[in-house]
Amino acid sequence: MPPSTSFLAACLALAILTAAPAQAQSYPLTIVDDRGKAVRIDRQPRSVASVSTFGADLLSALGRRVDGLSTLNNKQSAFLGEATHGTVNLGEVHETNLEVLTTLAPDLIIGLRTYTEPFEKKFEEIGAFLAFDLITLDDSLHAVARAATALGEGARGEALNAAFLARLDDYARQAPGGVSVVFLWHWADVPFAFYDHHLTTHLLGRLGAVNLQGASPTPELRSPDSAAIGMEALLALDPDVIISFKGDDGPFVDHPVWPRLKAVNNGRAWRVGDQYVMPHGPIARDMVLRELAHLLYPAHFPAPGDIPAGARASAMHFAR
Amino acid sequence: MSTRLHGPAGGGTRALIAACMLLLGLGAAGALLLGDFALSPRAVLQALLPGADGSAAFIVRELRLPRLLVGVLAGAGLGMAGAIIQSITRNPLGEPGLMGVSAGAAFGMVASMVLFDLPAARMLLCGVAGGLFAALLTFGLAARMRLQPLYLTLTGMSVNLFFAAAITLLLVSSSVEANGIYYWLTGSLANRTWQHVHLLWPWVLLGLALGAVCARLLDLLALDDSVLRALGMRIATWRLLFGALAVLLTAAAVAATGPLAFIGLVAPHLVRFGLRPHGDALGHRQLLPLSALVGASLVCGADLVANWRMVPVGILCVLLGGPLLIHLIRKQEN
Repeated sequence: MPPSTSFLAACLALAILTAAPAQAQSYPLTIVDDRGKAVRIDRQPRSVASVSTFGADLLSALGRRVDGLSTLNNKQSAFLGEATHGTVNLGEVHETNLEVLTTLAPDLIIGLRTYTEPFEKKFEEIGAFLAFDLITLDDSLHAVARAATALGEGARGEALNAAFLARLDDYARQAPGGVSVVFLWHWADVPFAFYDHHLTTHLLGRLGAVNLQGASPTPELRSPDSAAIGMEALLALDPDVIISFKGDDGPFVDHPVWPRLKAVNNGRAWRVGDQYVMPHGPIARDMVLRELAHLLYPAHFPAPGDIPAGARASAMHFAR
Repeated sequence: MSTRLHGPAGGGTRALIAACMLLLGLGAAGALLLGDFALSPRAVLQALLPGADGSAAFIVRELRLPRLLVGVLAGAGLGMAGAIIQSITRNPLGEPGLMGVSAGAAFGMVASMVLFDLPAARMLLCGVAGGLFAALLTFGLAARMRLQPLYLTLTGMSVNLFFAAAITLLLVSSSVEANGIYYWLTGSLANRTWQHVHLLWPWVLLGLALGAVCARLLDLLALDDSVLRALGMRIATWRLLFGALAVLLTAAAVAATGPLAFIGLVAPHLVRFGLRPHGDALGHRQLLPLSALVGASLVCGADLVANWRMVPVGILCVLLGGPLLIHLIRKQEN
């Protein structure tokens, strides 16, 4: 049975309708972010800057627009579609343009701790600043809840989380399983495979797929979330499905191992958008879940029709 | 650097060659036998025979053998390039990086990846071009001082720093995937293919051949400039030609593997320290091929561990090369 769209619609409607109105949340309030810092927010933020897609994703899910947004590899994330049009470009996610951010003077800045830590004092001088570590599903759920609270939408944030978990359970029940997969990213000719604890690989697991890279050898540390993998190792694993962030052109696809892989020969090697490596916002995680379900089990789950063209999975192309 | 120029291969040379062959043999056996697929020695041998087909043949011939050969060729090229650069700069701490070549080649590679995302073959050519450009810059700037060793060294260091900064600038401004970048910049033999072998072997063979033919000229270049001028030798021209040879060897090696630190520096010293106690002849006719052999052995030996632990071989080269060099220096002082 295909997953019911009415189920999602019901969940989302429930999330929105049952949520308390924004005014109900009283200010000032204090949010403890992933630095362990208690960030005081004096009034409901009117302007918000997002260093990484997470903040923009959450705002969009709440029906608001982000005012400033960082880029990844000098591009805005395609999965957010028109939600990013007209936003101020804050520069690359790892080196925010502080002059632009200062000029923007947002009430709230939502960022990734990894990339913002060296400049956190500057961020704090500009506006209230929340920094999150975003790797696992728990990270995503907690960050959505806290950031939504900061925005005066705590109840809707919780509802978004509940709707996602409900859909995840629904998909997990319907997924037939029995598929092996490797989720890759690469730099030049060096492929890296994600461990089980990353949100996207966690979703693969919930969908009954086996992530052949397995668990991190240092589970007590959440980072790194991936490790370099040799092409002989990839050949030995020979997954049914390959999901690859980037994964086209250049030396990565030149290697003679590719034509020998089952996934490649069966047309099941997919190049995916950056929402797969940054899937922690409400829109991204939902999009990734639905598209993954289709890529893993095309007979059971229809292709999602609402993903912007630039963010949809496409077949990888190989040199040989 | 005083050297005895001629003489037959003595006990020290034979012992050094035997030690290198042992390390090289172990490295080669490890590279062909160890991997993610369990293959018996018999299966590996059969896979190497002409006409072999199937999975084992693919794994050995297309995956493991190119990796081994790239390691051998890059190590040999860097070892020989180090010996040449130490001679023409008369600097015992001379190494390919000192000419700016390693950083130039790395810059060419990184630029081709970050800016253009080129196919592997073109990327390798960009690496070679970057190395050549850096060397041209070094030689061009040092030419005003007639390529005197001190100026050549200082200019090379400046060019090296310039390209290192350019790499950082390129990476900081264009990509955030630091793991991948640093993995490549430490130097690795993982996933190397025949494309990399084809890039390297002509240069290494050419280097070996030219080194053998012109060894006597390199011996002469070790003499003082005033003596060479009195002999009517065109010092700058010969330094330039030998420098170009070292540059090509280094640029090709770096393009194929990423920068492998210490090999060019340590290999010639290991040869000198291995042969001197035995009083063996140590002209460039011996030094160049033996440095190539030691360089190849070091890279293959290091890759044995790197392959097993899934770390870039460049890290092992630094971990082994650094203490080894300190040990050699202390031994010399004693």
